Amino acid sequence: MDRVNLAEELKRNKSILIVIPTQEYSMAIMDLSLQLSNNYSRLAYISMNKMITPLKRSFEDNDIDVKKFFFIDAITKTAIPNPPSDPNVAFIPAPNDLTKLSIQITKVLQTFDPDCIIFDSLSTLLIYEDNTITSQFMHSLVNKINAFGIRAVFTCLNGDKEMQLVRDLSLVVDKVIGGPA
Amino acid sequence: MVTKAEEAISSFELDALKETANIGTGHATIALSALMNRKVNITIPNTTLVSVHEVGGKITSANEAVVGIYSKMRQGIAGNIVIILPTSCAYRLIDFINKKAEGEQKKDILNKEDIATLKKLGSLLYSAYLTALANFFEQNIVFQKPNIVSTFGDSIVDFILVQIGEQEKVLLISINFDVEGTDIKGDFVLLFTLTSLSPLLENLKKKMGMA
Repeated sequence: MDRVNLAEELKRNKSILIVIPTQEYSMAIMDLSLQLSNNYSRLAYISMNKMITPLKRSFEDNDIDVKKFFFIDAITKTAIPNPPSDPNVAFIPAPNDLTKLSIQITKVLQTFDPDCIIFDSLSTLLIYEDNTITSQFMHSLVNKINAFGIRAVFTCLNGDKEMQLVRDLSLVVDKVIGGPA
Repeated sequence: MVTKAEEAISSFELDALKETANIGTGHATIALSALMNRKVNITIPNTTLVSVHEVGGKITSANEAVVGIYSKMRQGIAGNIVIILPTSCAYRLIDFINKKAEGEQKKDILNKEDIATLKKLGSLLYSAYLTALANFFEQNIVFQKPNIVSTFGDSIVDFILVQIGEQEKVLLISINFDVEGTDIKGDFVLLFTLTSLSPLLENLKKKMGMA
């Protein structure tokens, strides 16, 4: 996958869906986070895939300024029911708890006032919900983000299961990068 | 090849740890085979004693989304256990347990009932494995109720290392398995800290008149 120039893309498009080959995922997500932290001062990161402690460690290893981020962590509690509290992290019980996730995102948009939100990643949602539910959730989320006037980057893997969702969401987000032709 | 961590214990201790992996794996395999009513093929357990920072290099990154049945040790020993299934295999496993016939619509998401089924499966296999371990060491070993985690890429390693100190030496056991006549396959990964295994090894040596 070619390197995405996120700053340029986000000048022209408010919401972007980036489809990433699985083998490149870990590196790509760090590169995207680094670019965003270099261009924005307040970022909200929704992590469905990586627990907060190793995620922050990876950020630090990649010279990403963790202090610019507020994290919504939907995965740590699946392994550690009572994680240590952190003022920059909101924990969701599980990635399939879409109601709590939605409420928390609204809260962060209202209180943290981010310049941009990163959703990592839609592929996790597809493990628990079918394409229709995931698509509906994303429609509502994109509408909410648009109403707040902030930018958004969504990521997903390039698996077979994701392709229908990518097609559906191409009608909702401003641009899809790396998706099906 | 002997790892640096392995130099810290005797060859008897290392052999004893490897033996526990074999015994535990045998018991867990029998339990899975009985549940599935199918032969379960396993690889010889890959058992190594390594430093925490070496664990990532020993676990293959998931090249697709995976479902993990995760449990933390609660008593008797410190560590974590995860069964890692590619999502497609997790769906097929649920279909198999629910006895879905060929031609019926197959599962492609995990609902609450499926999550409960996978947790029960985890409990069954972990119980079989750890009972064998407990009997071997004559030590009560208790694990937390399993949870279901979903992830991809190298993030699965984070679960294997949950709440393990960075300076710890750990016994890492990994086994690949597949269920004959199906496309169900996965990995069974266990990690125990050497600190928590040491008293168990001492007991074993006393029992064998070696201490």
